Amino acid sequence: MKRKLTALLLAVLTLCLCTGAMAAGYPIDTQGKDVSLTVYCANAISNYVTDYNETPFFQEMEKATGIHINFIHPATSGMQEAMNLLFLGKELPDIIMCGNYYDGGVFQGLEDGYFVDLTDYLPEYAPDYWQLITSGDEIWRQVSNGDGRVAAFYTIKEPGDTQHRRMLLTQETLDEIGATIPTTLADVEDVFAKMLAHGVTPYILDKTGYEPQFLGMYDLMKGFYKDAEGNILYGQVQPAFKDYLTLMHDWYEKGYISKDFIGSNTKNNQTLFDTGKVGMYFDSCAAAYNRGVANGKTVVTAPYPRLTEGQQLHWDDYKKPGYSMVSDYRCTGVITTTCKNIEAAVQWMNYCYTEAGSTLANWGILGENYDVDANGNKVYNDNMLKNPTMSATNTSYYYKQHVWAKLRQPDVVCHAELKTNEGALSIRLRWGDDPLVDNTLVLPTLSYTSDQLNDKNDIMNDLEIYVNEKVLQFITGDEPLDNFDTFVENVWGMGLQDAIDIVAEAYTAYENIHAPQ
Amino acid sequence: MVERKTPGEIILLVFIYAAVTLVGFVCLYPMLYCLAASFSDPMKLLTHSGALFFPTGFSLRGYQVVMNNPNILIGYHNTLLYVAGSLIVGMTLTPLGAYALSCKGYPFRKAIVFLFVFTMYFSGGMVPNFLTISAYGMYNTAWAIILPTAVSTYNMIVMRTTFAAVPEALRESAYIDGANDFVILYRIYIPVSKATMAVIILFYVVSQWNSWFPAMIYLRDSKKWPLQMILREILINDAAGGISDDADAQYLQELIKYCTIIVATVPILCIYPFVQKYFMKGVMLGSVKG
Amino acid sequence: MSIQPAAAKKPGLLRRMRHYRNIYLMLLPVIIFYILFHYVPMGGLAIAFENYKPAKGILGSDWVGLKNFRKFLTGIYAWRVIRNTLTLNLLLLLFGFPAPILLALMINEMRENWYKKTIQTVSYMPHFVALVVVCGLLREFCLTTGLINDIIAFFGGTRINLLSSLDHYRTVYVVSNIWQNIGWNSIIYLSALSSVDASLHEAAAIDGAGRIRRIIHVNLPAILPVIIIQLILRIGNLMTQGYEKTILLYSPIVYEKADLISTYVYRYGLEKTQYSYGSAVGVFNSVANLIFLITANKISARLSETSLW
Repeated sequence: MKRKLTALLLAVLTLCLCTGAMAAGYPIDTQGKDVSLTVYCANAISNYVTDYNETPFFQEMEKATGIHINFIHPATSGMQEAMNLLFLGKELPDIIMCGNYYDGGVFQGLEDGYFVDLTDYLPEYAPDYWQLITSGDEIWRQVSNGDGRVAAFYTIKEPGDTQHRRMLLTQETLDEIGATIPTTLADVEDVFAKMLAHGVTPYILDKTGYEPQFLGMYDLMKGFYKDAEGNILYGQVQPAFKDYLTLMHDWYEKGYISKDFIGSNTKNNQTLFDTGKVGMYFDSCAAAYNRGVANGKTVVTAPYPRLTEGQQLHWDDYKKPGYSMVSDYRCTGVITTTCKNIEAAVQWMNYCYTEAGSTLANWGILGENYDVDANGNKVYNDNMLKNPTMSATNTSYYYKQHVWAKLRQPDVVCHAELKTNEGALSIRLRWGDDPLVDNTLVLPTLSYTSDQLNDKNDIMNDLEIYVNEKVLQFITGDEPLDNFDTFVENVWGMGLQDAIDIVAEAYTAYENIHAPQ
Repeated sequence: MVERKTPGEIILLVFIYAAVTLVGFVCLYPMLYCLAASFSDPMKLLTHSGALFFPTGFSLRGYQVVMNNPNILIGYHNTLLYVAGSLIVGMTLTPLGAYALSCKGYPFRKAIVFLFVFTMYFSGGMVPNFLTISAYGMYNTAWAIILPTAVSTYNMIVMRTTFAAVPEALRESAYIDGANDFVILYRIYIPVSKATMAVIILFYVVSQWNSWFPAMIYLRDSKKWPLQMILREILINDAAGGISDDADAQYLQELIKYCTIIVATVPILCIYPFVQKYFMKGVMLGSVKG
Repeated sequence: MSIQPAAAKKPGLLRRMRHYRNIYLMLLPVIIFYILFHYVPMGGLAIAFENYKPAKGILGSDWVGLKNFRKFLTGIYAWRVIRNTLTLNLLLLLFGFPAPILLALMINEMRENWYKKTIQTVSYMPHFVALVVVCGLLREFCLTTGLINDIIAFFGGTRINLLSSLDHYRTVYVVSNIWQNIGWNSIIYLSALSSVDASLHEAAAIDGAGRIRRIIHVNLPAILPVIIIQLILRIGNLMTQGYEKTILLYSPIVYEKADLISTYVYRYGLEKTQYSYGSAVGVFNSVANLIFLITANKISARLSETSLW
């Protein structure tokens, strides 16, 4: 009873606090018309339901918004092609959740006249979303184009998540070889030497030869990044890159790096690690931990490697101070210009950014898949975590929508997969509070005009073939490191400066965007 | 007929049987691997290395996921429909074209052959094909799957080659008896070429059975998807988009891959015995003598 | 040959066509089919000569002529990928074409029993195993710790990852191709062999020919037309085979030998669909393939009785 009263009070308060209360109220006021919308989106649990209307999440959403949705679920394989062809047909759905697949991006779709320019609709019909995206310059830049137009609803993520990709080792191996979790380069090499002596292949490098965490030690990033003054740089032609290559080559020669790393892939690496054939690699920590539990091993993570103790690292973008935006085929919601009730569509999309909608999308339905404990914390129950037919991955799209155009809470707060056991959550949180990490090197996701993109592609396509080939050859020794300078010269000769100029142009434009007040 | 074998011949036969057995074993292995893997326990499978002849940790888990998919029976049903439809159209048009091309002497013959062969190399591409099919009103219908690929130039040429090998004498004597080309085709040429007919039917069936790309482009309703399309979806979807912290989901995906192969392949493998009997030596030679 | 006055030629043509009217009647539905499903969409080839933008449509996009072709052919790696494509496919032809024929000839010599049927069925099973799985198995076998390297080490060689080695990549590719397709490709030859007149064999046996001679002088000539047509058609595929398998097996370190035209173009279209570029390369491939085909056909017509047209 007390819970219901609180909920009611909150609802009333929320309603009153909203500006434009009439337009943003739920259920949506359709002025007597019978409104239903078609939504085009992938079915993430097609093995269990054929239509999203069968899921409790969307049933609840229909109750709350008062709008019935007709879903169109395209095949998940080949969505890009299907998307390209969708616009050759005549009947377009009202809402498309994979707007990012539009050839050239959502703003190209806007320009071509297929997507609605949302900017003028948002303040009145999607005030919650509007408030979030105008809350700061950074988030506004991610969401809008150079003219201050917004064309899509994205995942807006609350800050607070920690890095998920870490250096992984097993406690059992560390104990066997008598080592502790490495923190500096010297420690890492020590662990490698001991692993090798013990008969275990120490490290399987990513098949491309690039490892961001080792590159980061030298203040380098792969591809385009920036320095503290905002100049655009390309990692593979920096002098320090030679140091990285020398290190990798040295390790390869010594047998620290598996000789099979080039032909491998993530799944393979996981298997090698799980079976103890490889001692260390980089991957998602909670996933590895869960597999370790199943295999009887204790997976542990190491902090970011450093050249020397106490080195300040500048390459990590994971912990963002403000809201961040995520855009993929499940959470880039656009409204097409053939929609007959744009206002209703905008309001429907806005629901998942409201308090009630966000809770629904991040947690699910109170009493059905989660409960509130004595301290007021939400806790998933067995329906969610130990469902007889679906794994936690699947229930995350049944009772809630793990990835959707919503206000998204951090994974460490509400991700079901992290709640399946105690260790998964703690391993994700570990090292997350490292103070000596910032993101000054990281270039944000820039948007390019169609011409810029074409020109950049024309240069980078062949350039990257050359670079990626040579990097692997340097590491294996097929190409002697003395030829590094020739390599750099060749790369510049392939038009790198022009590409850097394009990126710099886009970056300047990006920095000049400011959120409306 | 009694054959006395020379020592040379015996050595040859031994060599042949040995080579053929080796080929057989090497070819069997991938299928055996898939079969054994599909019945394995997901975790044991992923951590297993080396050769696999028997399931490692017997489990029906993979099949459970695949067969519990709501669309799997629909997939079988649709595929059978598309195969049948395609076969009817294909085996009507292909012999007609093949026979006509095997005849000689009529005007424009070379041009027509070239026009057919040309299409094996030049095609408008995905977008123009899509526009054409849509213009015909076939988008999201079974026709979009049955019709465009019903006739294969390659198969038509193979059939033509067989028809061209039939002795002219047969045709000429039939003309004299007052038969026209249609009668000759259906009463003489097709019956005489049973082996090739069987092979072409097999090619068409297998090709349509394995096809999924047209379905991806032309069929919006998942209720119309053929089996291969559904299997691809099962494979991609059981890890809900790739990165998953759930150990179960990750292991399961590998296992499901093998189950989908078995589910897709076993029916087609069952057809071959029916086709095989047409390959037995000396089956249809009677009519050719004299 | 008698000389006919020019005026008499026209009725000759029509009369000849009327004489063959049943043939044309047979061809009619087939021709209609081809027009509807092949030639109508072929107008889309224009995309190769345009700067195609889906929003503008085929008719509305700007015409750029040969720009896309030039872009492909003047690229730094154009020669490399063309060379790789041709080399790989010629190797496949050299080693992969005879293999199914040999298998068919051998299986044909077996006695008609359950074993023969089993071998046939088993031999084409790999064709049905999805490429993804075959390549997965291959990658495992080629690891330094894999099956193939175990065999190499047994004979005293050094272990190397075969798929990352420029010297070995092609061998693995070709051999695995044979492995996967030998059975399926032998079907057509088996079918042809089964129509060989038994009396020819009897006659040859009476003349004292042993088994091998009979195979060479009776079986082979009988299936020669089939072989020739298969060869001609295969030559017409030189520029386009190998895409999916290469994607599954290659890595940048073997691009020098492994990167094909199709894989190069595929990577080009990853950031943003390059319709026009892809279409232009497709046209280039098709033209090349067609030239190979016509050449092979002409040669075959001259040397034997069999040709496509």
